[in-house]
Amino acid sequence: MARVILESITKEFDGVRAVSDLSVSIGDGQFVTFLGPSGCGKTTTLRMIAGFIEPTAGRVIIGDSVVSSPSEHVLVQPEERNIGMVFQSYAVWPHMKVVDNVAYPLKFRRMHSRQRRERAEQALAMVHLDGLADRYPHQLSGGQQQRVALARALVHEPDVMLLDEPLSNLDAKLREDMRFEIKELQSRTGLTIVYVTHDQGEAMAMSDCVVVMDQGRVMQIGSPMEVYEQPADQWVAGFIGLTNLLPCRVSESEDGVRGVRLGDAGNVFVPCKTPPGETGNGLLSVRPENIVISLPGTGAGIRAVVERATYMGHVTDYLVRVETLSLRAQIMGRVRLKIGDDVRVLLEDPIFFPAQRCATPTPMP
Amino acid sequence: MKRRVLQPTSVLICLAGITVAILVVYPLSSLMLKAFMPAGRLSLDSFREIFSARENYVAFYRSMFVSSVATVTSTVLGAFLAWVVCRTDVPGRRFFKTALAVPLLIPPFISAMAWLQLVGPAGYVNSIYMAVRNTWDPLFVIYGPWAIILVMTVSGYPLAYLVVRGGLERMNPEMEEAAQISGASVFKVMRDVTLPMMAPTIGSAALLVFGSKLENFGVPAVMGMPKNYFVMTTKIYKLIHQSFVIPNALSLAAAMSILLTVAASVVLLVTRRYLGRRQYTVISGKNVQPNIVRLGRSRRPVAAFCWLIVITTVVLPLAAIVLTSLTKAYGLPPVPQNWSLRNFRYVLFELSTARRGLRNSLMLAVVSPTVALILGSLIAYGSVKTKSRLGQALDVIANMPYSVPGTVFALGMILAWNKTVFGSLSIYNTFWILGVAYVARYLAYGVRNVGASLEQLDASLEEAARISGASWKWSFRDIVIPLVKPGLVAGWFLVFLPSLRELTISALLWSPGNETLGVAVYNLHEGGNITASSALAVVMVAAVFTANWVVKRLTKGQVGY
Repeated sequence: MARVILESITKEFDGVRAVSDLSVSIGDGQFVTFLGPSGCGKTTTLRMIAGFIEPTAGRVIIGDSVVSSPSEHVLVQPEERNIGMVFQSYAVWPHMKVVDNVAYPLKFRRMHSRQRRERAEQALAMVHLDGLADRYPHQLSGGQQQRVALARALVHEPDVMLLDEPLSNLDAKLREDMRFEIKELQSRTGLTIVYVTHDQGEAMAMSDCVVVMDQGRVMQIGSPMEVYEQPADQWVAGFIGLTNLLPCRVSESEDGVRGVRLGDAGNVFVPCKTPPGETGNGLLSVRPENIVISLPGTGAGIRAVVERATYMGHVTDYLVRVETLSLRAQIMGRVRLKIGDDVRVLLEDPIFFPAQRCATPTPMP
Repeated sequence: MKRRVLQPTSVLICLAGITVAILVVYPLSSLMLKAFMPAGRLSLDSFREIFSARENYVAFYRSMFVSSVATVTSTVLGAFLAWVVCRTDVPGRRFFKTALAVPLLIPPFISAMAWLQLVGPAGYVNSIYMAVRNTWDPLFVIYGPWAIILVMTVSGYPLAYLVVRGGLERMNPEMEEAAQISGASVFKVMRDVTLPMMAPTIGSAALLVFGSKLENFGVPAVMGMPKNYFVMTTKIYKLIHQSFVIPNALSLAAAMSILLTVAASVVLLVTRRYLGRRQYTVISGKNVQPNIVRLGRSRRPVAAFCWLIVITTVVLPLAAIVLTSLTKAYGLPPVPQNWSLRNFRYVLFELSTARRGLRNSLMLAVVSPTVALILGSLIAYGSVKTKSRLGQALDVIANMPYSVPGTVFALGMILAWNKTVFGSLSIYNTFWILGVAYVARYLAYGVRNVGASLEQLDASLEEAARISGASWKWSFRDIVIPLVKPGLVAGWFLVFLPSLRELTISALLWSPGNETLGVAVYNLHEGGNITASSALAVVMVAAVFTANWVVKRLTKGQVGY
């Protein structure tokens, strides 16, 4: 187990920047997830930690040793880095039995063949594949092959375990189960894990720390709670979870409460935190589950009309119109509203992003 | 630490480069030199001479004529049979499925010999007709262009059949089902969906057939040469044999080779360009059970037609050569009192050329795939995995001897080696020129097969080994080699089978004492010893059938028919 430090690493492919000036410090035993849309550079970053890609600039440090540093002409080969890795395609070797797949890393770590088999079987037990040691990969299901790949990545007690979208080929139910299993495996072994995914559910469920990336840059680093509840900017707010992003202008209410006014006319006032001295335009982010809807007369709030109601089981998803703005709201419980109902809405925990910060590019693929 | 050392792979690829230069570049450039510099300086005299003498340029038209007609007939027949076998409820379709591919195993020149015995002037059909009608006029005489087209169709339709069948088997049946659901009848589904979607596949099948017909030597040699009907390949063959009489015969042959190659390439490029624009992504990987068309009242006629094809293309020719091989003298009625095994005793134990041919062909069939595969693997690895420029260039060059007609490549070999090089080294008139030519000719199989396996090898499989701690060498040994082994095995057999029945190259490169099986059969036939040539042909066909059967079992149906 070891820490991993990425010191302002940059990777260019034929002049195109895939990763630019990325710095992340991953503590010993931490579970860190690189999260971002496809093409954001997260897999490139992972492969630079593995040593398959040499960074154009910057340093990669695993434990106490520098493993990649083009300026110092250092590039430790992948096989010399003591890493475990789970590939998106599993990369389970079809011509080897399960146990031989798992024991393969031990072959390069001076060990008797009896001991190797023993260790491989322990690793298989850890991923609940006891008894399948002598099968061939084609006799296993996709989920089982995934576990073989996991066992192979941890059998040699690597310093770091890298996982490259390992769950994307599994069906939905299995994917959820595997999340908890990987997390549990990590807390049992104390492994340092670097995980790459575009699925925010996976990132939220497993990570100690999430690195949100877009277009080769870090957008935010923080705990799952931080990136969800205190997104650094409107891009992160929009990428992680659902949110309503409403154009607004900083203002004060008649009684001096700071907040913003929504819409073209600015008739609707919402109290919220704004940076001191800020007076311009911006965007207000309100998560659908933070919108409280009540019937007229039963509660306070802004006047709104129900435009769409979609029953989704655990919640009901509404689209409500406030003046010219449409807001998405998700309500738990048994409130039944119909299209055209007059309602009152309260916007809770709104976050204001000033306009200049909104100027950052926000293309969503 | 970062190390930039000369990797062992680069050394091996360089060695492969030198070998390919000697094997491929040297003969092909010798051919070019002879064609464009007949007297030591650049001139087009040889080409001018071809187009000024009718007997020369007419061979070009004839080649185009017989190949085109045979391509149309083979493709129509092959595509129809493929549809019948894959999409209809014709009785016995499982049997037809394999039986219709069998003619591919009979070497075309043996098929030509058999057809001469069947419908030639003194063939079985005419003999029976003359005996029954008590006349001296044969029913029909078959020689020349239409005989060539007939035999080319008989030996060419299985190729089209196999290609189209493969396309039909992989075609997504939902495409046809969607048409059916839309209300189209069985016939309209075929007309509106199946046929248009298969058009590119049928087109490439036709292209394949055309290429193989244009470069075919055996059929026009058996059926055209005796009647002075020459196509390009036989004309080149004749010119080479006249090189002691006509001073510039080799230059003419070289120029004609260039023409033949250009003609084949132009057709290939034009068709590929046209097809390239209409490639549909209809091919789904899985093998699925398609809708079966109920033939209803046509069931019996269609089955009868399939039987007719199997009987005329497999049973009758084989029966003819077996009967002839058993008769004491050619021309005697093939009745039991005229039967004997004398011909077999003669070719197997008494005739030294036949025994040498058998031994040499077996040796070539083992040596050439082995060398071609080792060399091919190096080139494929260099081009697919290391992506080095040299590797990719070698990939292209290694495919050349197979892309040019066999006669052309053999002429290149003659021009390259009919003198001593490096002091006193000469492989001309030895067994080794055959070995070298076979290896060069079939190198393409090695490169393509291993290359395809390597391309399917997901990069993450090797990366997983590296991350497990394996160095490049270990990952190559433990992961790459075992995973491409099936491709290696299949490639080996793919070279083994044609090496056993080769005639085109051997016919030009053999020398007394260094015959091959094909050459021995052909020479016996040319010398008029029809019964002995039939006996040896039976031996050859039996060897090919046995080898095919063994190969099919060993590769679990991957190679063989």
